[in-house]
Amino acid sequence: MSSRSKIITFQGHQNFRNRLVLATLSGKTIKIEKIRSDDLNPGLKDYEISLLRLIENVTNGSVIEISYTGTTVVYRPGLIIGGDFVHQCPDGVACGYFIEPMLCLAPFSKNKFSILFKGLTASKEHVGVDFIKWGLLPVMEKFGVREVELHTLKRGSPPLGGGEVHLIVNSLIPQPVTIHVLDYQKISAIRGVAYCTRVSPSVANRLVDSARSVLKATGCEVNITTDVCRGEIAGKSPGFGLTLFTESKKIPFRYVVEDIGTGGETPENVGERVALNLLEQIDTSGCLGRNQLELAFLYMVIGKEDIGRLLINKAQFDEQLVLFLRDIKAVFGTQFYFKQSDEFQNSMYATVKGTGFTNASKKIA
Amino acid sequence: LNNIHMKKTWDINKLLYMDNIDPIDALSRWRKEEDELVSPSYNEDGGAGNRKIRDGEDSDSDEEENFFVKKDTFKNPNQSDKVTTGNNTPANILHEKWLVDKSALSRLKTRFFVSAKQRV
Repeated sequence: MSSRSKIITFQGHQNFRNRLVLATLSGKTIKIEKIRSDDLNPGLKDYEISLLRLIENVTNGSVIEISYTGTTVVYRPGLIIGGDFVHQCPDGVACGYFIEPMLCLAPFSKNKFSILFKGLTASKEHVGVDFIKWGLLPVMEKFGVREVELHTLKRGSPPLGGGEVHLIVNSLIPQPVTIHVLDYQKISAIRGVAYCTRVSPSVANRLVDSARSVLKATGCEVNITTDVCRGEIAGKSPGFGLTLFTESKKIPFRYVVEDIGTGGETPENVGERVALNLLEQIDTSGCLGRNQLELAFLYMVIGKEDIGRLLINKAQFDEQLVLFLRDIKAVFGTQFYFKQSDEFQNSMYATVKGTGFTNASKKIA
Repeated sequence: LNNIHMKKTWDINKLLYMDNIDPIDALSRWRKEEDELVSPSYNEDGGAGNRKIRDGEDSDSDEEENFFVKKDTFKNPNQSDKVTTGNNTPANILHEKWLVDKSALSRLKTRFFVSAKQRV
């Protein structure tokens, strides 16, 4: 069989990050074509190029070929080596866009990851730093990746940013553990962080008050802290935002919702909206929120050759998730099986057999 | 001939992985069927094993045929890949659900531990 026939081909720019991650973990060459081919500005965007550069930095031996028009990319992955880097995120794209793929790759690296991301720490389009800290790191912990830290050194609000986030992944594991989460956990508390940069400190308190007024009806303990950034740690632009998350006693999984204020919005509006969104997410989620599912599914796929099970909600199926499942099948050749739950309404068990992935870079003790 | 009156049911596990069907179409088809198949007594009977198929459901056979014929991989492979951060539902819709409709909130209350302070 020629090497050309082994290339897995995708079309379009959707799921771009996940495709690169899947290719890197599997070691298979992928070709992504027709990237915005019918757009007025065809080809890769600057933030996608930036992600490719970052992946090139954290791997050894990767080859990335981009066509003249930028509408086709061929990616031959190398070994994940990690290391110590500074990554300047392009304007308008939050650090979360780059941190999420790193969380998928870092535990399977040769060396520890220590990357300083500079740019926006929150945006409307991409996940913010607080979401990753409270939403994704606990998911990794459940899969056996424990020593992961995310420090917000400076907050950077849109449009100018100026934030700094330090990602440290010290936990290097051969493969994730298999999980079985088949039950909803009772929520013991709702916690959160209200922050503001370069605006009056009272804005953070107004966010907290409005969110608390909505969440009071749940009868649950609500504890929201404020983070008022001043001077150098406040970035370049004024802004404010709120992140709310739930806590359960048995399982570290949390439902996380976040939002930032835009021009003309009052802190009361934002606080109320985020609180209502949290209630909505609790109602329409399985044991994990929608944004955490992809990381969990990926870890389940590359886990041991054992069946992992996860309770999800039917409302969580969307186009992105279907594309991701298809991409997993294309790269790893394994597919999820969804079974209706007899116990819970609108819920399904997502089951998959791990591919038995082994971290090729890890030294044998 | 008896098979003519049998409703084709979509298996989500097959539907999700059918590459010749757009993901949005696949999900809408599945969701529509779920709504049709689940009987009003779904909650009372408890569990998904008590689904009932309604009568006269072979009327949309043409639509199903077209659905099978469709060969386009995706309607638009370059649609926005915006990542949702849980803030997409407008506040006015949520207000109606969570603040006006008290039953929605009372249903959700079973998911929370009520703190001692609130109990008093």
